[in-house]
Amino acid sequence: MAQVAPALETGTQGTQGTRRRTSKLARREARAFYGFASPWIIGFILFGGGPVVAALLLSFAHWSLLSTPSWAGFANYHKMFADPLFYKSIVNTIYFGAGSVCLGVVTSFLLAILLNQKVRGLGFFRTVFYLPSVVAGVATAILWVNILQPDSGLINSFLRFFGIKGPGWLVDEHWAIPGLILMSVWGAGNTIVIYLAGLQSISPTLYEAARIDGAGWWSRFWHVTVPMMSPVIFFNVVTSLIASLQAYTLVLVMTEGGPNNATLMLGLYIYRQAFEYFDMGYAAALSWAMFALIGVATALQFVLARRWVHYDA
Amino acid sequence: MSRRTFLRAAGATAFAATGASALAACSSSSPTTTSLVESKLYPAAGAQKLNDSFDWGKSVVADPKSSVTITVAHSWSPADFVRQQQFDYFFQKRHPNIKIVAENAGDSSADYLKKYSSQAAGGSLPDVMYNGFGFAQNFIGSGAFLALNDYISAETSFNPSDFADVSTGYYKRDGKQYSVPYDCGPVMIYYNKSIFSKAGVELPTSKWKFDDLRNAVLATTSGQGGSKTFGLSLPVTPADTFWDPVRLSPLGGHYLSDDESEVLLDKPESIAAVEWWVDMYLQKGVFPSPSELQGLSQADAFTLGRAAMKVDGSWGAPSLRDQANFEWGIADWPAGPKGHSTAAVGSAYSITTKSGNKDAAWIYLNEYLSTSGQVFMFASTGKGNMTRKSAWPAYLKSEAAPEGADAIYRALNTYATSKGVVFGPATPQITNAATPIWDQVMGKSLGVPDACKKIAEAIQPLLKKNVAG
Repeated sequence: MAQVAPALETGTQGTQGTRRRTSKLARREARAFYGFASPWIIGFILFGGGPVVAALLLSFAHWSLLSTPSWAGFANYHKMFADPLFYKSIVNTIYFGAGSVCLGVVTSFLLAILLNQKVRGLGFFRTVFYLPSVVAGVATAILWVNILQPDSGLINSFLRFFGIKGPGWLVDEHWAIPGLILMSVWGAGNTIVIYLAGLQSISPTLYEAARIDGAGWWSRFWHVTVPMMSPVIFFNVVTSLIASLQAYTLVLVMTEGGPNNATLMLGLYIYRQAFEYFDMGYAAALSWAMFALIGVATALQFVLARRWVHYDA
Repeated sequence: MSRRTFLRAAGATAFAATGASALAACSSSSPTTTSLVESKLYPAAGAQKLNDSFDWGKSVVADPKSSVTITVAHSWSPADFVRQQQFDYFFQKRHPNIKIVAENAGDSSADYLKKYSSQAAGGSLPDVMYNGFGFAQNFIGSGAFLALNDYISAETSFNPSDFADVSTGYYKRDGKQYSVPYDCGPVMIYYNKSIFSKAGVELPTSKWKFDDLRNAVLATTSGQGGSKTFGLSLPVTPADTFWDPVRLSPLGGHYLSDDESEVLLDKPESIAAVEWWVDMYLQKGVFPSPSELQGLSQADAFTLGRAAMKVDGSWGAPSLRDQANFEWGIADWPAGPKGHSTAAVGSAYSITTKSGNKDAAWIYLNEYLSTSGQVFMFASTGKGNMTRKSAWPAYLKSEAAPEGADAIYRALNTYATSKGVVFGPATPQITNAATPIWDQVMGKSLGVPDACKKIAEAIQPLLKKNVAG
């Protein structure tokens, strides 16, 4: 199929293959394609690409936002590598990103499997699990501040029922990030939808063949479901990790980076430098550090993916 | 319809929609004052009557001969922005050649700062803009605001001495005045009458000393868990940029030197002052711990009826009047053994340096911050905190004035000060550096003397920014 598509798209080819000519229809379709895509392309160049280039230049400048930028060379990067809060925010960001992705991917995958069962009221259950995804971030954060309240919060009250004294969650610096990780699973609805789509695309014949071969539930899950879902899991891991590493709203609302900077993430630190301290040059350098962090994490995912992602049916 | 026709039509529609959006994004806000808007809170008839009762005077700066438009940036709640639009409507009636485009970024200073610092970066600040005591110096230092001394001295009816002294200092640099303050409120005591009564404690008076405050705080703190009543509603923290004049200075301590170039928190008298407050918390939990604060959803325990006293600026009175379902009053901040002071802070309006219509902007500013303007915007709406002394009688006589409003006015003109309030360009860095260390004090894992020393070490290097501007 992959070899046929170019011929369809490029129309007739010269006998020697030196010059490609496109048909009228193909040219019209190409124009239509670019017409449809142009709002996004223009938007990206103006509002995405432009700021990206500007941020790179600004990372080599001193700029208080209110004055004219002045060239600083590598000063912002020197400052960054000597800044203890930069390292703290990197560690916190990685801790939160890894934790929330691991918990989120496993939980939403298991929930998707449950929501893929043929039971009565399935539509209702699917709606219920998707609903948190449409709740605004700030509202979710406020809700979870109450759920994680050490004395009267839902989670510690539940633990107390079993005689367990729950931790101080967001007010204890050792438990603040685990609290945020727990909360991050709340908005897994979108991930669940993607998993559901993946689960429904697995051919029933594979399960049937496995069943004929005597495979039990666990074997079918481990040897059919997981391999067939591995591209979907990979997609969710990559996109979830990118989103988690940019965490900002929920940290700002729930903890403001505290207690004792225990939840100071890179996104919040960038915001502080830019809009509280008016140090836009340093904020730009930190942004490039975040970009590098996300880039390395994503590249690592792609390298590791060769070992466990299966694209063949 | 064929597929091609469909594609062509859809493409054209998408292009047109994109173009329309882009044009909409480029256009400015629509003028707000072509008609007299109203709300339940601010009926049009009442606004008209009030406006007509004033003699608005006339600026020495002549009105423009042809039509000009000035953009004014505000930070009002949506409800109060209606009042602003009413003012603008009447202003335009009086000055037909000055059109006002009012922008409102909402009453979150974080959102306001994001919007206007970004606009400053893009070189498109409005002609007139709101600013607060906590960030004005950043804009002043960068040259974004026009020095107003020439306008003020030429304006015969302006009368600078009518402004409470404490209100103007936040907006000065090198002897020049860059903003006209429009509100300024002293930090006072709010008290819940029924909690005092139940605890058998006398209500606060103007003669109160720090010891009276301490006794009342300890006596009114009672109970446990969800039914606990706190003596004070909010924690004592260096995140309050005015904790020096309110809490430390009356006990002989200080946070920073007057010019914000040196930390004084690690001096013995400052440590003793901080300990005076923290001891009450450690002994009896007189204000909410971090976890108790979380249990209150970060809300104010006083407004919820769960605290005997709240230490807050007088600006808190209007919302308390709307929300509290108990009897309350306002009293003077008590005198300490080493002196009597409280902080008074607020906001102001400035003309931006790049404004193309500075004269028209001044005519607006002069009228907006005149006595009549302050009565229209503040005294008549129950917000109080007027910076002009001449606007206070109207407020004190109004039904909106809370019990103890006279104490606010007295404090503003006698013992309220800007001395010790942290408002230099390094303010956010100072707060963010001190807060994590203070978290450990609140978590009872770090003692006050060590915390004060650590805070001093952390913020001393940051103070260079204040000197550099």
